[in-house]
Amino acid sequence: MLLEVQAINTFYGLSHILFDVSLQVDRGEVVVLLGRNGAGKTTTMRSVMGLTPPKSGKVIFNGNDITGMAPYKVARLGIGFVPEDRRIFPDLTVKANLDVGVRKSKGKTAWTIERIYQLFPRLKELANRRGGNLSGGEQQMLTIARTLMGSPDLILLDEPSEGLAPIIVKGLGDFIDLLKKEGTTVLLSEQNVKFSLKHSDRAYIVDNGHIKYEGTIADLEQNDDVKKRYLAV
Amino acid sequence: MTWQLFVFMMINGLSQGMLLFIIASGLSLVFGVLRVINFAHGSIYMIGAFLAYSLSTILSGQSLIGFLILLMVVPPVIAILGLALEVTLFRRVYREEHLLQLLLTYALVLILDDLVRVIWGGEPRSVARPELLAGSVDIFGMALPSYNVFILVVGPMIAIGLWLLLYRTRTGNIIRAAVSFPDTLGALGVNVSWVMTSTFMLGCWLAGFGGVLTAGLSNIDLGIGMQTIIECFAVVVIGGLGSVGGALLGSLIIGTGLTFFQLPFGRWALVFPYALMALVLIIRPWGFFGKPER
Repeated sequence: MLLEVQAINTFYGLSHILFDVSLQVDRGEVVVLLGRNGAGKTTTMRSVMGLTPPKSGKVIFNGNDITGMAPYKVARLGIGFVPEDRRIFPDLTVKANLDVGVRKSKGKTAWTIERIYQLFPRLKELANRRGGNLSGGEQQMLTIARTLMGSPDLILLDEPSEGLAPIIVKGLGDFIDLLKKEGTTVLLSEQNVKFSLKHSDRAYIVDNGHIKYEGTIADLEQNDDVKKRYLAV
Repeated sequence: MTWQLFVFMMINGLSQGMLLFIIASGLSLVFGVLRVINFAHGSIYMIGAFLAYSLSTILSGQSLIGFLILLMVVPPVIAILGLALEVTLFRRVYREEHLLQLLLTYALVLILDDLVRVIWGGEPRSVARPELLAGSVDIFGMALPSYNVFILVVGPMIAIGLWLLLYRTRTGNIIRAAVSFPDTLGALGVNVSWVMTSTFMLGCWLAGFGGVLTAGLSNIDLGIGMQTIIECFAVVVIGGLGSVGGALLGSLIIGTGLTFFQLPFGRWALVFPYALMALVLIIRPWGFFGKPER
């Protein structure tokens, strides 16, 4: 087990957001966290990353208890986080944004800027453009690429398809498939059901801060009741 | 006005401006990364100046080496003072409201200023300039005070050094990234709290460097901290808080403006920085190089 979240409860101030959320991600898997806006997907990722530490419960990564650890330490242990709102450093060039993401690699898949440029030729063309002057799709590429520069073992992708044109979403899907092939483990959070089911191995459905369903994609595809109730399919 | 007088005043004004820049850039840099306006920056600068005085009495003589030693020793000592202040006090208030930050840094002004009074007393002090910098240099047949020329050489070196650090190194990328999204930077594996500590130390280093240069330029007394922090505020308001380029522009405008207005207006020239600051606040509240707050 690469990542194990054990019954975490997370709060924003006084409001209780996550209720005993548990999930597991095996090495090499692509696991999707499905749910509506405000269901607790982002909070789950932020809890893992240490950005919003849980009040109770445990987060175990690679055998280490990382509950409440500072985000930079979590990142150094091999978890990469791609935030939903992208957070490209606007004053830095594309190249500098990537440069900031570089970590002395500990992961299996060591990413270099050459490989990133190979994969995203557009980023090479934009290398000297300021991050603040990119389109939404370009920003999404850059924010993923920036996290990859740290060569994480596990990458948390928070709603990557949000606000992207269909053609770019398709490219994103191919890219997730590629990550999996390369041996990077992915925890994805999504509202785009069709997209998620196509590119994931297993799914969790989160609703109002509770995990409501877990199972393989094949099982979920069969389960019309769950799909109707939580995914509005 | 003859052109000789003009050049003379220009040199004077620009060197004043450069000295102001060295100090104000530290204030601006610290605000950019830590989002705390450090009122105590002027007091820290003053400690640098007095420390330079004390050290100069030990080093004795007016050798250039001695003066260079001051420039090499005092700023790092002030940076270490900054380290202590950041770790014990400043980092506790980053996420607090502005009023609390203001109270902390203002309290520090009172404490540090009184500390200077206790240690060095109220009398004006000065550092003897090394002989090489005490006289004047002939440029275009004009005798220009060599110390001002020295500041005019050192100031741009500091400016270029800062620019290279901020825009041409990975450290600079990290500092500028911390200005925008510290949390995101942390999630990328960067120890942001160390970035903040080092930036604060760099700001104090600059204040200390400015302090040493001031001690050689004029008399230093208990008032210079307050006087300088106010001028620095004018500089960063004009240039834009958080922008080092803005600090350069603001410093040079104020330095030369003060010098040139002194001729026709005498003491009233002191109004100039504040009038300009007020004007900028009306027309472009975020300064020339600053950005409106998100």
